[in-house]
Amino acid sequence: MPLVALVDDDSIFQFTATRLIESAKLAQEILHFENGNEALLYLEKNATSADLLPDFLFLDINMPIVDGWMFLEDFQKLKMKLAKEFPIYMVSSSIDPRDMSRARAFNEVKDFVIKPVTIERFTELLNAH
Amino acid sequence: MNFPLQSGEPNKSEASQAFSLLQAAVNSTADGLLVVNTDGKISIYNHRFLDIFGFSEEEAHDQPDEVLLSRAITKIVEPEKFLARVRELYATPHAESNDFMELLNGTILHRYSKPQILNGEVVGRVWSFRDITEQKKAEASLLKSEQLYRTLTDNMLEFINLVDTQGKIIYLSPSTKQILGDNYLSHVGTSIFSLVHAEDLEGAIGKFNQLVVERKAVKAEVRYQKANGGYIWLETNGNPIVNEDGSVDTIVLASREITDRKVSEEKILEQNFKLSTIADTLKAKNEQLEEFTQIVSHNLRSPVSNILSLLDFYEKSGDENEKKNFIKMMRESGSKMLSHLHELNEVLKIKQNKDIERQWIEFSNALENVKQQLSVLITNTEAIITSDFTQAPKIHYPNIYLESILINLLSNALKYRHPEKVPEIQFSTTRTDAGILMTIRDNGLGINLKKYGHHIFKLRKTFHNHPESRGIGLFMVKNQIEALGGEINIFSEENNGTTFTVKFG
Repeated sequence: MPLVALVDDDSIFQFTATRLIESAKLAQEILHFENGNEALLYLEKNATSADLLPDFLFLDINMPIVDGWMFLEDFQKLKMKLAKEFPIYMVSSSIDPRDMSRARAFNEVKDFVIKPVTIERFTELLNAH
Repeated sequence: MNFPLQSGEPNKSEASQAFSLLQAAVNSTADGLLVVNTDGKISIYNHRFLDIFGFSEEEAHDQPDEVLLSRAITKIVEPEKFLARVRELYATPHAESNDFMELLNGTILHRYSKPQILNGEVVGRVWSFRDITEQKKAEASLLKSEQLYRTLTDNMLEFINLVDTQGKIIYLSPSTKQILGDNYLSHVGTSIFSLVHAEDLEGAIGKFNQLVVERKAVKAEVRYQKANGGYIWLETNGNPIVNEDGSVDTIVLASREITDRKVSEEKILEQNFKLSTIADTLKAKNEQLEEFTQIVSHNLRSPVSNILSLLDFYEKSGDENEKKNFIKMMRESGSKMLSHLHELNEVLKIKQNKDIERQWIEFSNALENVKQQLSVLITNTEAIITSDFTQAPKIHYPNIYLESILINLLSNALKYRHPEKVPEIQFSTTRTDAGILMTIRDNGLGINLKKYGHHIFKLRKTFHNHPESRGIGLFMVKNQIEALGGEINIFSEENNGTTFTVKFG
């Protein structure tokens, strides 16, 4: 079962997403990060430990300090040093097409997921690997 | 027949020498010469005479005089006129004649005739013929070209002036009448610059001097005063007439009217200005719309999507305690959305309220007021706040906006103070061409603008892990300043404090 990372400042989304993933037994463990900066610090710290790196990363766009876009820019440089490759799902309440096309411009982003995320959608995304 | 010069008594050596001299002289002249005695016999002719009338030496030698003369006459245009003139001359033997004649082959001759007098008695007549065909042709073509130029300048729509190197008018073409009236020639002798519009004078004189000094053609668009007092736009091409020694004393000014074009150009410029203003406004509106799409997309949709997820949980849950918790979270999301809507509404009000009332406010009073509102925070942080409003002590601005700007920038500086430094915050104002500029400088945490610069004035953007970060203040302040045509900028470095400048509109 995969290790899943949730990067989102919205505590209610963290709560509902965690509950859904756990109830469907889709993850071994869930890592919570309040913003892009926290997630980057964790990845950098554990870059060489493949078993501590996530198998999936859900990334919000609007966050304080380091938002989703800034995370992706820094992640492009960091990813070479990581012991493991993993897909990133951009998760946002945004339905602005400009956000979607901007997300697709990053090779690291596997898909753009619009909130709210249902249990079916989580199942589909987490089984895709 | 006498060739080429004949004399009855060439036996004396002195006479023979004189004869030979005469023969050489007669043959070296460029004119055709013929001397006929009163009996109609030819006494002398030269080679040039034969050339002009197209006789060969042999012909001249072999023909009797009568035949040669009558054949010569057949080569003349209007021979009767010529013969009549000859008869007239023979009737008045002492008369001289000086006129022109034309041959059938197109040769034009200057004919000069004088009596030959010996011992006071007329014994014959000397005729000289000078070929002036080339000279006549040149004269005719010069006349023709002069007439052509005259016709052109007199009938052209262009206005042609000749002026000297001081700009004094030498010639005005008749077309100038349209501008200067019937009395246009009275301007000859006056300065061309006395006709130029005051605003164009400096430029016109500059171009004229350039032309005189560099002896090169120049072009200028200049307004000239008309006889009726109005002005006309002319495009003038100036060309120096360069003398053989390279000097210039006359300048040709050829002008055509471009008033219609100028008026159109001005209209186009005006329209362009209007269009670009509209385009700027549209661009700004479009940017605002994009900003609102972002706000609606992110800030409003996210609590709603949370509520929907929680509702789903609520429906599927059988645990009363858990359900209470879901309700609590839904309420939280609801009030979050309500506050977002409230903020959006505030911003919209600012954007729509461009004509908000302004009053004269003293910066020092406004700052005191704001310091009182934030007194608890100031006391707790032991911040040192200084100000210098001497250069621009007052401003005509909406009171609530100035208060909002000051309160947000001051609380921002206090919030993001450096943990190891006593906060120092300086306010100052200066006057610039663009209006009053306020500067707020602090010694706080600063911010990495390279990383966060593009987000600094956006809604709900915070860059510090700070409990009081709401990310609304700067967004609001920016909107208030821009709504009145102003501008806010930030200069900062991490750990080195932040400076905000506000250009009030």
